[in-house]
Amino acid sequence: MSFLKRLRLGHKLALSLSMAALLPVAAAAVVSVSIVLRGLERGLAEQTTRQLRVGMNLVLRTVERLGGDAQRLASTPGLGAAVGQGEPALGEVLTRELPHLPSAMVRVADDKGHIVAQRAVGGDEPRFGDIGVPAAVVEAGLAYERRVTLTPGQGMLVVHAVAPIVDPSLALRGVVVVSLPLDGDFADGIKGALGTDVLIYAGADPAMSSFLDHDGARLHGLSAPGDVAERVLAGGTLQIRATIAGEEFSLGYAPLKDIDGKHVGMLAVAVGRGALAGAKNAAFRSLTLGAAGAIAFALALAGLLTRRLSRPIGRLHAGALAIARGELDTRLTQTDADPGDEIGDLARAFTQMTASLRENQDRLAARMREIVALHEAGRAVSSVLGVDEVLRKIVDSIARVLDTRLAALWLVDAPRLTDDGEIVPEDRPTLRIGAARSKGIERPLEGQGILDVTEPLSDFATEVARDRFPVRIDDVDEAPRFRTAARAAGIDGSLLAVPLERGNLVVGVLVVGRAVTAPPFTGADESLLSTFADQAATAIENARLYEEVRAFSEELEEKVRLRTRELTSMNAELGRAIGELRDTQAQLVFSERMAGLGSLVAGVAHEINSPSAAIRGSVDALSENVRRLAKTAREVGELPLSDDDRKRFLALAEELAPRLAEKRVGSPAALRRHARQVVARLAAAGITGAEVAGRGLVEIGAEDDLEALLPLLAVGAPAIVRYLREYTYLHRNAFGIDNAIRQIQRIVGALKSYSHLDQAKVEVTDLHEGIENTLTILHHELKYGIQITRKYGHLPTVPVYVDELNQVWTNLIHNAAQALRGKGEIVIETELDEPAGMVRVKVIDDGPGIPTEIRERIFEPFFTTKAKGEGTGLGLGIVRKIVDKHGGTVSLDSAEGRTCFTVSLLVSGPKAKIAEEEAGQGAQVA
Amino acid sequence: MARAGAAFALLLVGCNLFGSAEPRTRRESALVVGKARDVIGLDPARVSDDESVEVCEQIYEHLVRYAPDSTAIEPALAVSWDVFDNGQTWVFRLRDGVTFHDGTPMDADAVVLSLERQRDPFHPSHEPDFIYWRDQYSYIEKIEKVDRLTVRIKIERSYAPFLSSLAMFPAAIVSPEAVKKWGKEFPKHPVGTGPFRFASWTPGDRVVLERNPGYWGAAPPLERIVFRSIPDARQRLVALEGGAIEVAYAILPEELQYVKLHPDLTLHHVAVANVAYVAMNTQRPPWNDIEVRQAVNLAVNKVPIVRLLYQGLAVPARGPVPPSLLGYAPDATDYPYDPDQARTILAAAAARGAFDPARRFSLYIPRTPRSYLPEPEQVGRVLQRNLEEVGIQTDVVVQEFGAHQADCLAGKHDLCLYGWTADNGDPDNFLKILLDRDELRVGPEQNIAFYRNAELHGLLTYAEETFEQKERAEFYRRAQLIVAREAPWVPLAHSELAVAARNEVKGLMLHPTATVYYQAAWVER
Repeated sequence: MSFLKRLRLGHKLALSLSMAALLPVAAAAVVSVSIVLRGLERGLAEQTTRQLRVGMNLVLRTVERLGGDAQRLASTPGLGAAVGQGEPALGEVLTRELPHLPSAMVRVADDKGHIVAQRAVGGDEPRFGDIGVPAAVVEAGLAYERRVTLTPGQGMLVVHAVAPIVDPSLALRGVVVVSLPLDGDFADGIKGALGTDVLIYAGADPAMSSFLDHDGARLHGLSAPGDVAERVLAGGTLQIRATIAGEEFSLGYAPLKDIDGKHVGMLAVAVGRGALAGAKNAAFRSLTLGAAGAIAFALALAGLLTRRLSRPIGRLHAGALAIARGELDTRLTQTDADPGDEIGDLARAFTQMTASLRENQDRLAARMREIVALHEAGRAVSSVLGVDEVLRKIVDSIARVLDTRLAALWLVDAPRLTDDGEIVPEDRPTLRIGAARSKGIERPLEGQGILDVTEPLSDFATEVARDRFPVRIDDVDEAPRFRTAARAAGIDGSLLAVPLERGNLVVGVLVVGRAVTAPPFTGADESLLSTFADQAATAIENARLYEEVRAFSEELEEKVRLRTRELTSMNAELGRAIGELRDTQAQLVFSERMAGLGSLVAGVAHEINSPSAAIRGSVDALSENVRRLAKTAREVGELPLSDDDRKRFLALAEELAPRLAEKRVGSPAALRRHARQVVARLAAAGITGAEVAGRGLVEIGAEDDLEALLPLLAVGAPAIVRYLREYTYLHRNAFGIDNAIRQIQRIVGALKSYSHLDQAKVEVTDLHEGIENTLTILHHELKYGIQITRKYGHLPTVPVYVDELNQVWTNLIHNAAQALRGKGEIVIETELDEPAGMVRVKVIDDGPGIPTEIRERIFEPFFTTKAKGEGTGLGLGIVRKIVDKHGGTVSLDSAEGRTCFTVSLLVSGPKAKIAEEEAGQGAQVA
Repeated sequence: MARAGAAFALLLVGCNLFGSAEPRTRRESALVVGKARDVIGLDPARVSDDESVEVCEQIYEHLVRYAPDSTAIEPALAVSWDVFDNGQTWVFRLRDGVTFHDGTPMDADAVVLSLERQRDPFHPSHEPDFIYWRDQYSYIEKIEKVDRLTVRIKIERSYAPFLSSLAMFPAAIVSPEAVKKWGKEFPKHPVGTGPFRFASWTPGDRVVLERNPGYWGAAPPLERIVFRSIPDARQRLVALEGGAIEVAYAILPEELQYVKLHPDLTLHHVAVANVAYVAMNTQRPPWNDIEVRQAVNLAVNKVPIVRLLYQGLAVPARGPVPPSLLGYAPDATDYPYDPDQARTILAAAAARGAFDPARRFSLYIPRTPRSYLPEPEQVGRVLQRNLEEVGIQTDVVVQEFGAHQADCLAGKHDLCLYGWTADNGDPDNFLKILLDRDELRVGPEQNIAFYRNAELHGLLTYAEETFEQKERAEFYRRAQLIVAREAPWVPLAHSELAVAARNEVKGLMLHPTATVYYQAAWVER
């Protein structure tokens, strides 16, 4: 195997791949053979299905033919007569007919079901001798049924075909039963036609098969394995594999049904699997051997190659693992790897890689420390707001991160502007020290101390600010311009400065310095300082903004204080305006009434619409009535009535119809009761169609006028009743129109009296009349779901401002209705309080009540609990105003479920009050 | 690892190799139906053959429909309706959001067009062969749109069975766009709202319907139905056995037992709303005598007729109304076969001069078989013998159906054998037409018993004007009691519709209107 050592890795890999290719080829061979075998298997299954279908067809055709035979035999001329005559005559007919039948057992029974003759056809008696006939089969025949069915019996399935023997008028004479056992001969017959063996089961038990054993004896006991019988007898078909007499078969099973659909047995066909099994075994054997050989070869080869490859790779692997653990000093010895191939190259590259990795890691650690510091500085910067504080934090961070001797930050004062708002050009920026930290001084510098240390460097800083460019000096001794200044500030090493820029402006300068003992600043230090510079610039900007905002908010507070003073004085003015508003209330009361009138008119229009629709409907119905009345009048005309009777009938109809039309329709129960009584009475009077006529009469309510109608009904009840019905309906429709017109008149009348505008005129009036008028007008609001209960006492007439008081009722009832939200009861109660000389009107609703906290306020003008737009809040204000005008009082008593407004008015009327007041004034004057 | 994988793969292959192979099953949920004839056309307003009606019923729907197992009425394209104006105005609220198969919305315009094109001879879509309107809907005065989803139908008089007539196939709602687009060719391009939509029609071979994916009701389980025409009955059965078709119609009577015994097949059957009967000419003696008529009822042996001459595909009739209809009276008198009692009654009638045993009477028999009467001549001969056995001598007159009908309507017969199939599935359609005299009758004249009874007339008139179903049912029940007592007929049989199907076909709905609905059918594989 030494040649393998010399091979390059590519060759080794190629060899391995070609070995691996062997496996798929072997697998493909296995798969293709298996597909072929599955095809064969499926073909066999399909053949079994087909054989089963044909077998079933053969069985059923035999069964069906037996039915035909029974029917043919039953309809043999003369058989019916012969059944009655008994054996000799019957025997003659049978002897003549039986040779035409296939082999079967034939029985003839008489019309009582007793067997009167029995013959075995085509076979010997012993074959059919002990087959009984189930009683159900004979009974079906006696019930004129032609029936073929399968029943288990004697350990076999037996086909029975029964047919009634009838004479030409289909009267029953007897029955013919033809029976055939599905026995060995039958099975052989099916096998002969089918070419495959069959098995027959009675229920789940093996009954018969066409299989013979080696000695030629029939095999009976081939029971179906497992749950096959259970599944097949539940109505399924299925296939299984079985070995019978040493041979393998595919068995297809199907159930056999009797005529009622019950599964009484099974049919199975057996298709031999010998050839298929042989082919399968051979294929399996050769495939197994071939596959095993190929695999053994491939495995041996693969094992060898793996060994050659795995050792050096294993070492590389171990090295990589060591590096992963952090042992960066790991080296791979050159001798470990094969110097000739890629693995050797890999080992060398690996060693170099670890070295540079080590270096990079060190660098990375340094950067990491800086970034952490930077992050901390950033966090510190963003957590403080005062400029000085921020600057101190930044300088501290810089000093710590860059390990400086000195770190100082100068701020540039705002640049001076020219008169045109331009920055003065070429101006030397003015710097002042913001914060500094020096290793020589323990705490951050303040006051004189800071100036002492940083002053020498301020010129240097100014230069950086003006040039807007970072300056890095590795050794101050070699920079004569700054040497003295730097040394004065305690720096004898390197110096680094960067400008702080915000947008276009330089806002400050950062300067750091190190002692000569420390390493000089690098480029990385410079960019780090620039990043600090950016942060510092941002922080300075933020801090400045914060200062500005604070100043602004102080100004704002002052403004608010001023504004509050102004508002207080305005409020006082508003109070005066409200007083004026109250003065204009009287005018508003009037306009509220006008608005109310508008919605009133809409309501009234709606109210009038319903009766007019009713009139329209009634008029249509009326014309229909007239048409039908003319038709029924013709029918009445054709009745054999004498002239007198006819006149009497017409007069009666004339009298009845208007009266019945006005009559109230009874309850359904009453109607049914009346109908029963009237129908019974009519039936007793011998009137044809009593049922229909009676119902017709009760429908129009004529049950009380039955006696007067009876003689006429006797002549022709249907026409008379129909005429009366139509005539009554005609009047009913007319009444409907009349009522609707009355209703319209009532509404118009109420509206007139409600709105008569003789303002401020006192009239002696009946309060109930006003309340009723109001209810009529509000009817559209109340009619759905609100019940009005009137509890009127005896009231004297009272002098009042009629129209204004109507508005009181309107507002109170309207409010109650709204509180009820369309469902509930409103009680209107009136009473006379004689001792007090008052009348009281109470409007009570069972709504949710008025909350205590607003009860005090509801009489205030503009106070409303309704949603915006629903009301102006003037309603109850007006009520109080009007009642006051009458010298009366209005009070409220509200709880959940009962809210009562009580209006009390003086019996003597408003004039009495005026007179009283005048009298009072007079007295005072006096 | 590679080693283990290879061995594992080989093992799997080995397993498959020796697993048993099941025969492949068909996957698509399609159903193939074998019928004796092809359809003629698919415009519901002018179909007249059972095949076309049945296909139409899968494609189209009506304002209302029959319940699955009776002729009771349910909402369909109309969700509700109100009756006004003493039953002369019907207002239907239509189902919202229903569209025709072509995407046209089903609305009031569609309903108006579907019915007005039949009613109005001047309608642009009217065709002269809209044959059902004059016969069944002539009392409809106007169909109007009220708004997008409301339709008002005015009828001449108060007539409750109107609702049932709307469930009948000619009242199907068709796509107005399709009617306008196809004109006279519409029967070849049917568009409805039903659970299935039309896919193709190869005349003489097959009609294919496919599932309506936008159906408003429960989606039908079947994706496709293929109605194949296989004229040879035996061929149909062979195709059914072999699985080429899944449902077969019109099985030969002698094959019924074969189907019943076959383990793969099921025989489905339903009593159809029809009736076969013997009518007695009640206007002439001796049939004007109620006792003589009752004796005739006792003389006829119905059971062997049903079992032997209908091949078992019928049920004995108790009266004119089939059991699946509203108001069927199961308690009506059913005369038993009692020839002795019949003879006794006839002897008494002869004694009081109401019956002359020496006279010979005419018994009219049609020659043409009908679905309700498959063996008219044989039935006629059995009747003749049954009557002879109780002493009624008859001469049989056998004629083609046309002549038979003309003679019976002219009242030439003493007794005649006749039958009737429901139009709209309403009991009015049986009782009023077959046993009442009324010029307001809807449907053809057929009271060949010339029977008149004022009470019956009153009950039927009331029933027509009553809209409460329970009340109507009661009127019809009483009407049947009167008919049973007065015995103007010998009711014989209500025949059955039978179809054979493979066991895996489920959910077939055989309706008393002799239509099979496939809406809920599926194939269990």
